[in-house]
Amino acid sequence: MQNKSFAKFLIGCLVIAFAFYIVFFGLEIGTASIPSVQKVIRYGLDLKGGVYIVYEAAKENPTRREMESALQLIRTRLDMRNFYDATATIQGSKRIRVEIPGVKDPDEAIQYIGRTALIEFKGPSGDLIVSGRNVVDAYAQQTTSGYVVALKFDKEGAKKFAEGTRKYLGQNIGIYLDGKLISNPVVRAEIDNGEAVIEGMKDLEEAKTLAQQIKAGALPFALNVIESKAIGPSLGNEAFKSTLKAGIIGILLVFLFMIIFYRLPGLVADIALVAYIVILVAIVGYAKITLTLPGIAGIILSAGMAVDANILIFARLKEELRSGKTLRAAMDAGFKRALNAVIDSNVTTIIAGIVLLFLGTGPIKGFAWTLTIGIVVSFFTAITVTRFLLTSIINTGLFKDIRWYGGKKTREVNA
Amino acid sequence: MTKIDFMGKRKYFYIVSILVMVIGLISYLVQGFNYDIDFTGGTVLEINLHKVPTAQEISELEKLTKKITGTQTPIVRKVEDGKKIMINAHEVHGKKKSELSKETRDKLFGEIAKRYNLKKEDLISYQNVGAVVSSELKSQAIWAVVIASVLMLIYIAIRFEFRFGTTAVAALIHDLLIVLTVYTLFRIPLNSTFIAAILTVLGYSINDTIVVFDRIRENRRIAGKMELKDLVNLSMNQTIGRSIATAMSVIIVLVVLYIMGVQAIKEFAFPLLIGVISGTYSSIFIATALWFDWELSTRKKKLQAKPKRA
Repeated sequence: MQNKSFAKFLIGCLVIAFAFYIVFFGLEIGTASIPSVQKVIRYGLDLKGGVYIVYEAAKENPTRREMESALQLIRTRLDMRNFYDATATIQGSKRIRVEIPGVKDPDEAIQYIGRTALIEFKGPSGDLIVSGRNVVDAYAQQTTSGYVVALKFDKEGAKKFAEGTRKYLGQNIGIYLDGKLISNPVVRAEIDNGEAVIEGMKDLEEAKTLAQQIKAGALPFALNVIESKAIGPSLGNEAFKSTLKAGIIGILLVFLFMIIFYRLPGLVADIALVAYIVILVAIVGYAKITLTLPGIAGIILSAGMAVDANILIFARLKEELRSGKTLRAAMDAGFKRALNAVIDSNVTTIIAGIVLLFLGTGPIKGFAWTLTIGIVVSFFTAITVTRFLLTSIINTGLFKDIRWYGGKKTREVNA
Repeated sequence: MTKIDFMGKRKYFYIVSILVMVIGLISYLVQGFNYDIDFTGGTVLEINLHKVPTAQEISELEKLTKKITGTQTPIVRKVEDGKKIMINAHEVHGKKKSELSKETRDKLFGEIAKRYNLKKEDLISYQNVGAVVSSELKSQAIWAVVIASVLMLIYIAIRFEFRFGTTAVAALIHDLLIVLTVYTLFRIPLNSTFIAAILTVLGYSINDTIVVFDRIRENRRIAGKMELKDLVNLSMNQTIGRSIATAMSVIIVLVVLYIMGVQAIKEFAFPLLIGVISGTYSSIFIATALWFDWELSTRKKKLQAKPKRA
């Protein structure tokens, strides 16, 4: 019984140590491998540097579809510039937030992705015939002459296009995307049905891409830049390093504090805290939650609060021991009676976290995520890991003196 | 166990809290809040000067910023190791304030670069914030606090009783005012992390209050005919050790963060630190004391009402 309990305790510790190793150093067995968390963690712009830009539609109540085509436009443009790391997301009902890591000047980035007038049909002398504003639809098609992009103009566009094709019959009409000539067909007949075809696509894929770009260029509203920020990579790096260092020192001090005040249970709480950190970091890393500077603060803070659940339980344990209960009975009572307070206090903090999650943006969202997940994980480790380890170590019967549990005078307590 | 008569001294604690809030109110009336550009709209430039500027130089930099941008009260402050500065500025077009245009920004940095012999990369970062974002952020902050408070009140009312919920939220408002006092008194910039700080304090404070209330609830069930004052004092004596221990572990982390963190973290850690101290204090002295006074007054009323009916 005693040896078995000791083995249980050791196995518990080993499992945690093993999980710690996998998360922070990765694992490779044959062809299967788990990457270390440092490799997969997604850092926010404030940690790695770059720019972000928030666009707002210059139109009241744009529809979801309009916003999505605007997003498509921005993505296309980001890809065209090889900003593959960049992310673009719709925020609220009329905003788009673009984050581009590694870029230094937001103005330059805005230049690339900000404009909306995309597709233009121009005469041989460069005069504008009709622009993307009058395009209502664009789609890829396969015809006998190969892959094409078919366009549909609105009424005004159809009229302009008809005039243009009449005027330049037998000549070229240039199709420009962002001022770049992408197609230069010869007009063979006047086109008055409001439809045009761009020929010469290599394959269906290319035709589809161009159709999307044109549709995006036919955006019914302009995008205004309402916020932009550039963060130097050196600043981000420095911030990350110093915060991480502060976090490690802070947590080590808490470890020490727990052992000094709660002795053996304190040590058990520290092991549970390691489990808490491993689980939390694994979730943030592998679930690709963007880690921001306030996010790290959230982790460190919730680690401090994770200790609270343990403190509540141990304070109870100490009280029950004082009232003369046996160790096991005191522990059971300690866990049982502390549970109510642990649940109620954690739920209220989670409420704050979730409100923040819904109302916050950017880095604050990162903070809310880590705080909320942190509290949930801490609740789990406090009532399972701490309990399992403490039960095992008490059952070994090696630690019977009340002083192991924070009592003042030497006194034997029965297991 | 040392027995402290917390409830007997509650009047002093009320006075201390009111005093701090009055200081906060005076500070607010005199110097207001130091709204960061998240709230006012404008531009923040962070520049590496490679040397610690003197107070004289700071005021010269402020004058220069004022001249180039038209900002009435530009803010220039040292950050990190003191060798870097942050400049808050905006451009004024009639009554409207806006972020700096690229030209103005280049001109301002160019002038400073000339004075301090700086390179292009010494402009570490800059941030433009529009006024639309700012006003939205303000209402967002207020809504976050209101919604979180109401939801917590509902939760406590269900799990405990309405009276506990109300006094717990009163203690929250107390902590909120103390944290606001810290922001105005120490001129800490109010920006988007301010919302995170406020909500963390609320979360922590209510967490702490709940533990004390939980003990009162429990003791009330088992203590039978104990005097209310003794019952509350007993509960507080039982939980004070844990309250201090938990506060200590959070405070340790925050102090280390404050000492070692970068500017953004410092500005976040300091109000949190005060908030956690205030949260611990308020759950013991304010929330419980208010609940006690309320409970006491209804009991007295009941006692007075009884003989009349008889």
